[in-house]
Amino acid sequence: MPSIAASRIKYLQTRISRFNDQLAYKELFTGFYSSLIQFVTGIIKSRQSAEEIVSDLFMKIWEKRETLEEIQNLRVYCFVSARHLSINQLEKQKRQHHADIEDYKTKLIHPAPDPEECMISAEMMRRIHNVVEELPPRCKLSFKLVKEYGFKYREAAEILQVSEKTIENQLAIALKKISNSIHFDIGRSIPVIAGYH
Amino acid sequence: MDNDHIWNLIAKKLAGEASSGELKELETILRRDPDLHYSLEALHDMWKKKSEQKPEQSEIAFQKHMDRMYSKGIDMGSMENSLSIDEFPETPHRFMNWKTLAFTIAGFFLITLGYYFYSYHNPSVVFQKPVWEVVTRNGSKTNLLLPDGTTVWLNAGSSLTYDSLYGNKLREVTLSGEAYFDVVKNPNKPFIIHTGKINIKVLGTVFNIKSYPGEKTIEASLIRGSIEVTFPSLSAKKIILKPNQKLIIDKTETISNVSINKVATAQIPFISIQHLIRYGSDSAIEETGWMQNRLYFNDMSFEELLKNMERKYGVSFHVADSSLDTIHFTGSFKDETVTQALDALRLTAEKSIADFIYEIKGNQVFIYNSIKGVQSIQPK
Repeated sequence: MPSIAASRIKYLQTRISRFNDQLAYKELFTGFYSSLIQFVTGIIKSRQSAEEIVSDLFMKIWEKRETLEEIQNLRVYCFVSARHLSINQLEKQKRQHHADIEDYKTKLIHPAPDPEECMISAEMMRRIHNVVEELPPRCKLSFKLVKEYGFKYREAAEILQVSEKTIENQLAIALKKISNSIHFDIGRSIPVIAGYH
Repeated sequence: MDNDHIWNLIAKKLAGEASSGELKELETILRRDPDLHYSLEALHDMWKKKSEQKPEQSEIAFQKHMDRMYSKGIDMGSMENSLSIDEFPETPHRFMNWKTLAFTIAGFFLITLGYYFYSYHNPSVVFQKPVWEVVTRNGSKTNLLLPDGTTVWLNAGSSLTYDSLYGNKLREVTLSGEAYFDVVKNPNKPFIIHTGKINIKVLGTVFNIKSYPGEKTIEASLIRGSIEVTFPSLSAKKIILKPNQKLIIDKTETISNVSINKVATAQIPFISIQHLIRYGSDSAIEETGWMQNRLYFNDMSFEELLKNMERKYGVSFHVADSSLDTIHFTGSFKDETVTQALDALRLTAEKSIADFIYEIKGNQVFIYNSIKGVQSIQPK
């Protein structure tokens, strides 16, 4: 979900662009940081590189602050740039290691269960999380952009440079798989813990 | 039926992308296939739930980022202790006529971003509280959106300050000059304005405050809602203002207020409450005219009018003869240039006993009594 309202982002753009406002810049950085770092980590699987990419991206934003106001949707712009930077980084790595991007499997991050939630719900969320992490890269990214970061199909398509139709299809695939994993649980009274990390 | 199509519809519904036609279609499908209900409900819950993420240390990350920028030689200017002052002209529109252009040239913005860091006097803990100050120069105005969505229109020659604690428990700002506030309603976090010797507490309302240092009065005009005015020098004194009322506090006069038990004597400012007068078909009020560039003056002394004109036009007036201060004017200026405005005033003054001439040098305007001044300068 967007952490800063669109109107606030516009306002911060103006402040940075016209007044070199460092507090506005900081607000933008801290507001976008979480989602960008997760998005980039999802592509390049390296926390350190992800931090550098997000930092590079914001350096670019500061350097071109004079024209920052012209950007219609800064959030989409940041995700588009973050993806480009990530792909460049991946290609650099590929040349070095001859590794296949598609072979990369996401390192599973296990979220701590929320104590306020019942076990089944937490377990189910974990299972969904695992299903999402196991999705093919493009499918996973589409799903996360729309669900986690609240982008419209149109915006997600722009970020991933695919058609809106592709986003539609990827989302349908993701939901079908998630739904299958939920169905698995129907009729069970005891949450399944073994076998899922 | 195409199975994938159902998932497509469900995804669209969850993402808020479904058209009304698609929603109807999904409903029809669900009616035929009740088993899907369970999936849809579970997916709906899943969708609404934010996946748990460990909170990113964005503050630390920002520090790291700043260090990296510094090491790459990108200069941000000093963030710690200095004021960074940026001055820039408002971009003139290409289709602007010369009058508006003249006004625009006068309308330079001056925004001072102040980052002051206060150290609390605790030897072990140094608490840094960044303060944000927005300043407008004469001849310009700006508007700003505070983090809670409250909008402030800041008139010329004014400043508004708030710090990083804004919105934590209270929403506190300090105003010097004139501003129009549209405060977002939040009874849990009162909005408090410190200005001059008064504090104004609001819960959610629209009002105009005029409190320029060097002026005799502070004025609070309430458009909607209600506001509470308190005086730090006198904790018991409290005035509740109703819509369409205007509170005028005379800073120059004080009346002694002896408390009942005669222990303490405090000075409270001289206060009066007036009703806002609405003009014309759009029921505009004098107090907020500045937002449309309009300057209203109703039986206003020449001295006070010139102060208002200094703000509107970004010029400085120098009056050689204080006897001119006694002339009073009624009217309004909007798109007039400073020359047109002064000519209009001169014609009005001519009809009364007084008369004046003026001379413009850059953004300095010299005003002379026509009889005395004629020896020293030549009228244009």
